[in-house]
Amino acid sequence: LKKGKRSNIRKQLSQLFKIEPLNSAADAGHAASQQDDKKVQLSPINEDAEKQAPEIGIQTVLADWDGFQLFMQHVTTEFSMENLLAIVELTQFQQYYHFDRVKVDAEEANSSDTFVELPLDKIPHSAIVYDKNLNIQQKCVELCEKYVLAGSIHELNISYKTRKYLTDLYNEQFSSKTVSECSFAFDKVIQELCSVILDSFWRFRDTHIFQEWASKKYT
Amino acid sequence: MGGCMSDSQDTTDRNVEREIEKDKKQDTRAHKLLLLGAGGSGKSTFFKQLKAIHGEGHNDREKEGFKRQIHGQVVESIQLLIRQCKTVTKDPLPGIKDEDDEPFGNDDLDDARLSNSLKVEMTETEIAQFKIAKEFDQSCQYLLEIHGSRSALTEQLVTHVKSLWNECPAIQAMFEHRNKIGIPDSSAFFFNDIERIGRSDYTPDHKDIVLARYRTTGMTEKEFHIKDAVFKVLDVGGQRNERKKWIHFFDGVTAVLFVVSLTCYDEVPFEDVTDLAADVTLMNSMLESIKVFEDTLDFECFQKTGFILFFNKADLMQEKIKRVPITNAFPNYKGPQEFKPSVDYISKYFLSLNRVPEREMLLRFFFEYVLFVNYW
Repeated sequence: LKKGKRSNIRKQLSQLFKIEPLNSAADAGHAASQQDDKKVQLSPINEDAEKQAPEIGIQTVLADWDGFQLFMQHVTTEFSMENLLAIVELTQFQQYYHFDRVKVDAEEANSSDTFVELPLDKIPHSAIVYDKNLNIQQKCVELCEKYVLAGSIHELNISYKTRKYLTDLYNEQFSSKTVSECSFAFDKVIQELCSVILDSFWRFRDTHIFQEWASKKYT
Repeated sequence: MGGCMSDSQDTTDRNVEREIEKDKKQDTRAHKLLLLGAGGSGKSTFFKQLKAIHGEGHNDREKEGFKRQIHGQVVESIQLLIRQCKTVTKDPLPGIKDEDDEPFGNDDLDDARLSNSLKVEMTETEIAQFKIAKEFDQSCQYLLEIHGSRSALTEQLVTHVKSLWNECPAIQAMFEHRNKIGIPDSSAFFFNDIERIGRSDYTPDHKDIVLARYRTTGMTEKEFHIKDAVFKVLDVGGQRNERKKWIHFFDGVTAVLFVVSLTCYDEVPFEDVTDLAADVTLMNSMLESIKVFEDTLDFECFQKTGFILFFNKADLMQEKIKRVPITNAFPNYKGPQEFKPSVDYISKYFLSLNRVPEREMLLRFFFEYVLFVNYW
């Protein structure tokens, strides 16, 4: 059953991102099944590991490939996968334009650029972000259509201000914004989602699946 | 090919089938109750209360989660208050990017709209009351630089919050307008108790847990065994995008528990919050609740489903009614500005929306953190 669920998530992820695998599909399948095998051999929950569990925050879970997949599985059962999908895709967007993210403001220029830490080398590439035929404005438009506009397929639980700001830019197709300006467009969305997703995260932390993962990681 | 199946495979299959059968039986035995309502009405609060009273309560891991959510609420609320004060008085802090400046550059249109509407709504003197004195600059700067969702309450943070909340009149003045800027009432409770909740050994008690406010996303379910009956209660998110997901949970519902906040008639829904200039008579969460309730009643699959209407926050309503009349949301109300007749009008109004006479409709009232007070 576990194996089924996991491959399901891969399928969903790949459908959503129209997967562009880095490795061959066979490799990916092999890696996945190896992980599943490991999962079966898990030792019973270790109390010390459980005591450490309160220290494990969402950042740690998201940065770990296994943790990420299990959390994705959890939010799928809770019908809130759009939050995590958007965090992933919009972070890929930020990273893709990493070198364009130059702040004009002298005081801010020194502040370091931080992204949500994700196992990006393992996560399928976003079909929008990595589309070579689209410029940054067109990508912004497509991302808005997917996550931001009222009624979009993966409409997010974000504030009026953020939605309105992006919707207004969408209406002019981001034409007034430079590449550098566009590269920051979704920062506020990610920030808001990191807060919303905590609701799911605290419930995830109370599941047996999380504790198994934590005990494996910390023993 | 079928012949290749080993015995162990057969046994596994049978076990799985048995499990499925068992689950099915349990499912048919359980009464499925669906908690619905607009955002911020109190569905999750109700769910937490149920868990505390009929479930096994909240374990340490969950309490840790609530602790973090409460810390997040404190930081986000104080940040919002500071930002709103700074925006209204056009008094940016050096080195801090104004949140209302859009992620890059100024949005001239929005800025013009904001200052115009403020000119109409507020005089210079009124605006001046939101001016945060220079002595609080350091606190403001410190607090605005914190990443709300990750922060733990450090000693330094507690000191800054305490000083702003207790000594800065502008922050208090802005808090009075919390209904327009989406700050929960319970933030005052946490600000007042900041020393207790900021202690390193702090564990939230029942009241803290019930008062913690955060947006629910998606769906969560829990089974409650009360005497011989099994109830499966589903809690969902209430904002507009979350409501699109509700339809997935409509199958086999015994009753809908529809939650309405009695005090929301002057509160701007989260998904509409703009600024202080918002007109609460045009859009408030009560109007939103009514719309959501009407839409829910209209679903084909609910024509024979019983509804229990829960009116929440009766305690806060008793206070609010002294200051704000319900005519914000119910312009036809002609009765006195008092608790009982107002609540009576609201409940009758909601009941009148039901166009299916044979559908069972029950009314219940509850206080923010005392469950199941049968008001009448």
